[in-house]
Amino acid sequence: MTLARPLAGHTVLVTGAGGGVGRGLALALAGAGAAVVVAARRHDTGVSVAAEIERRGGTALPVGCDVTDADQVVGAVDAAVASFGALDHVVHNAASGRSSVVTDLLDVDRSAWQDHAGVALTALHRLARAAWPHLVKARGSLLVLTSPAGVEGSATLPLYAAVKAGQRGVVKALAREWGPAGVRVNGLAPLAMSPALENAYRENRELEARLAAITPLGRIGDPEEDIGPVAVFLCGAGAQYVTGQTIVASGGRFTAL
Amino acid sequence: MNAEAARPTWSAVVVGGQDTPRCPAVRVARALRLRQVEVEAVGRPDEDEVAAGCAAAARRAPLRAVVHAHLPSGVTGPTALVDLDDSGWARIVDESVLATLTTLQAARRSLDHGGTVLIVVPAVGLVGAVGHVAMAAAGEAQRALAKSAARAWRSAGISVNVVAVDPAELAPQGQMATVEPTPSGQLAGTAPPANGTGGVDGLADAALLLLSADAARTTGVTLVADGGATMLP
Repeated sequence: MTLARPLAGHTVLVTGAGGGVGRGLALALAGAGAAVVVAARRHDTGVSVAAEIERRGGTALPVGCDVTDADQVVGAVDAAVASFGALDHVVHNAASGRSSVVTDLLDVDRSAWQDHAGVALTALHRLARAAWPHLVKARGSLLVLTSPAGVEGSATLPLYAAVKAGQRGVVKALAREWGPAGVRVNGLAPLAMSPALENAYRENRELEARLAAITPLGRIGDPEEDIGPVAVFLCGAGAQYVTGQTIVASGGRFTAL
Repeated sequence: MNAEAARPTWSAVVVGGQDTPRCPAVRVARALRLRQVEVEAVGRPDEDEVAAGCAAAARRAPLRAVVHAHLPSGVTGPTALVDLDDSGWARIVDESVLATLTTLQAARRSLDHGGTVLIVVPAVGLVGAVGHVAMAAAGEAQRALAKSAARAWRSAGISVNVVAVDPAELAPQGQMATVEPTPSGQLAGTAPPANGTGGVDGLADAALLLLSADAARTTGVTLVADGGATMLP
């Protein structure tokens, strides 16, 4: 481990790593020296990210993983340990494909809830259970990608806000539960470019300028350059006394947290 | 007594189990009735039952509030997350959230002329608690739903607020005990009153405050009523 590669010798499993923020996190964590298990629902996207990591001189293993499938979650954890001998950190980034679909609270039903919760919460539970014995051995960490929407609520994305809030509840409670074993649990709430936001920009050409105008740092975050370093910090020794917290990386957009 | 003065001027629906006098729904209903509010009790957060309860209440006095004080069925004593199976997680998290969603939706459809929705949740999600990860997730998800509803329904004159209580108040007697130290190091979880009559009932007091006319323009807030165990920044 060096200052330039603080995660050298570490193994990190990243879910939802086939694109968007997950891809950025995987690249940043690999750049920090970690061996990264690139878990993605669509295996081809994970292969592409892993190839990019390898091209840059890093170490990566692509794993097809639909986090709503309990067996695939266990399989991803097992693959990490089998390939690299350990699992130091888990970064749960996967989110429902409907996360950015505008919804009226009056119209949501059980299946809509399950669609969101299955990826954000139920999968988090399964991932935590599967990874626990390895994280204890490594005195590692669990990092959950949550959102400011979970704190503020959202008139247009109520279920997304609910599951993101639920994730923060997990972070706080699990940090207390796992702390005695030396395992840290934190949240990271980013404001970053994503495929959904890129789609939104294409549909509304003024949106990018409008969002930038209300963000103190004047831009939306880049997943690898802006969000990745925060994840590296939270996984690394620099955050060895940080647990139960949600760090917001939003360019100052959200300050009521 | 002057019969005019005693006639209820508004009504409320309280959703939640009525099994024992300690049930949160029973305590809130009692507190409202003591203040001359017409109360319709609905035992289950079923959309049709809540809607029927709202209609029944509205026939007796203008409906102004719906309170969700439902006890999730899966709540037991502290359980380590790694020892909680899928069904246990679903009973605590999914059932709690879906029950809240049901009440919110039914309330929105019934409060035609504005009003207040109050959701009672466990306070553990605010700071976390050992053995209650699922309940923390559920509580925070419910609070976010309430805030989302508050934002969406503001223009319709409907306020949505939350009372967060010690989780021991949300489980049948004897099944829960808060043993997690508070951030200040003091043991949390003062025992709730035996039957909610006499003595101090923080839940009922907080509910009355948020349901009062003085709080009509307050929305999206969480009032923590756990005897001071949780004090937010």
